[in-house]
Amino acid sequence: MKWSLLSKKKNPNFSYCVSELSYISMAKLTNPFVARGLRLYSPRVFANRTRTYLAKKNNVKTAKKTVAAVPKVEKVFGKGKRVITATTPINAPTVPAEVRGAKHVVAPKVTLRKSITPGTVLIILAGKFAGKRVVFLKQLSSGLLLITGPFKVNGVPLRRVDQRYVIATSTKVDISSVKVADSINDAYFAVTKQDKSKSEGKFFKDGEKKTEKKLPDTRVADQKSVDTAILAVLKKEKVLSLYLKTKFTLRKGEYPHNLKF
Amino acid sequence: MISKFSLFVQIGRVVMINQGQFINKTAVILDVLDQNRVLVHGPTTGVDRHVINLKWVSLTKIVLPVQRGARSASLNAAIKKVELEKKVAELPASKLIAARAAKSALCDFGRFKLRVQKSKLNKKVTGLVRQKVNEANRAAHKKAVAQKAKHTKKVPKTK
Repeated sequence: MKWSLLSKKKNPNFSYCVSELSYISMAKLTNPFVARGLRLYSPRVFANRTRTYLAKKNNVKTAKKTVAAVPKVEKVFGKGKRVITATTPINAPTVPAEVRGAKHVVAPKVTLRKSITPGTVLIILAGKFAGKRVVFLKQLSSGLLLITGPFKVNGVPLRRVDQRYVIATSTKVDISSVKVADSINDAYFAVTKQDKSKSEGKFFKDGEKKTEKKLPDTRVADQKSVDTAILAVLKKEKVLSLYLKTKFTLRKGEYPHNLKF
Repeated sequence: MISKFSLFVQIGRVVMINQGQFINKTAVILDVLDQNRVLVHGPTTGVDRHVINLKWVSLTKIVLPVQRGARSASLNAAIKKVELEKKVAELPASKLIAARAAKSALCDFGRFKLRVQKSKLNKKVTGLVRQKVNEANRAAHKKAVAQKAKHTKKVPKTK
């Protein structure tokens, strides 16, 4: 609908247009005629607005409409009283509330790209390890991917990455022999904040030795246990470990949209 | 006068199309319209009978015995008789196309392996070349030393 039609001078059917506009602004669950034989919304869009599809899906059964007797109300007018019929609200919904209020339930699970399966070699695209080729181990409950370099091969530790920041190659490392402990989950990678207030007081004290950041022993041990299993597999194919060792780069005449991974 | 050309735009000449819709396909010249344009047809390769600019094609060494403006039936018969597909496959141009296609079909690991092999080969070649150069240098040096000795011998010793 053109807004220019709303000016009184240009359009002789001004009043008609305004009435039509009011339909839209009120957002009533009606599908008014724009022209003869043409509704404002398509059936698909209208169904979406009224959420009738949810009623179908959830098998919501609404009670049949019963024509209730119009209640009479006694109202005070000045000194006297009069019995009048109660008015219904103008914007009364035409679709039962239970249908409109039905919640759209979406599973929060992140679906893994089809090309990524355990053992797939991934190319990391962003961050500190951009360009590194790494091995995918499993998907964590948060949807992030658990990967390892392995650390001994290319310096990438057990780490989480989002699948958005990764290219999946068609190369796979057989990691059926690799066992990833269930303890390696999202909580495992959670960063514990250090208490800053303590160190602030000591800041100017002389002779204070800086404590080196050290990874907990469990991390080192987990890294080792996962990597040794993968390294045993890689030992059989030397080119593969050389492949993981090498960073991915685009070379002359190579365009990522033309490449097959 | 002897012409320095060996391939000619002629009726029955098989051409490789290098541009456009029918890229990397072969067709047969059936008519020469002018200096720039020819009528080509490739019933077995899926090239429609159409007029094409000569800039878009490259000539091959294969020539089929067909008549000017030959119909599909006679062209098909000629193609079958000489087993054109086999001959085309042996052309260096089609080998190049096949190699290119094979290379572009490689996955990331495949490309990596190719690079490794190539660097190995290059190292071998440079090693061999260096060996030859060193040998030549050594021989030249030996020769120069010998010549110098000869020259010094000639000079009589003064007492």
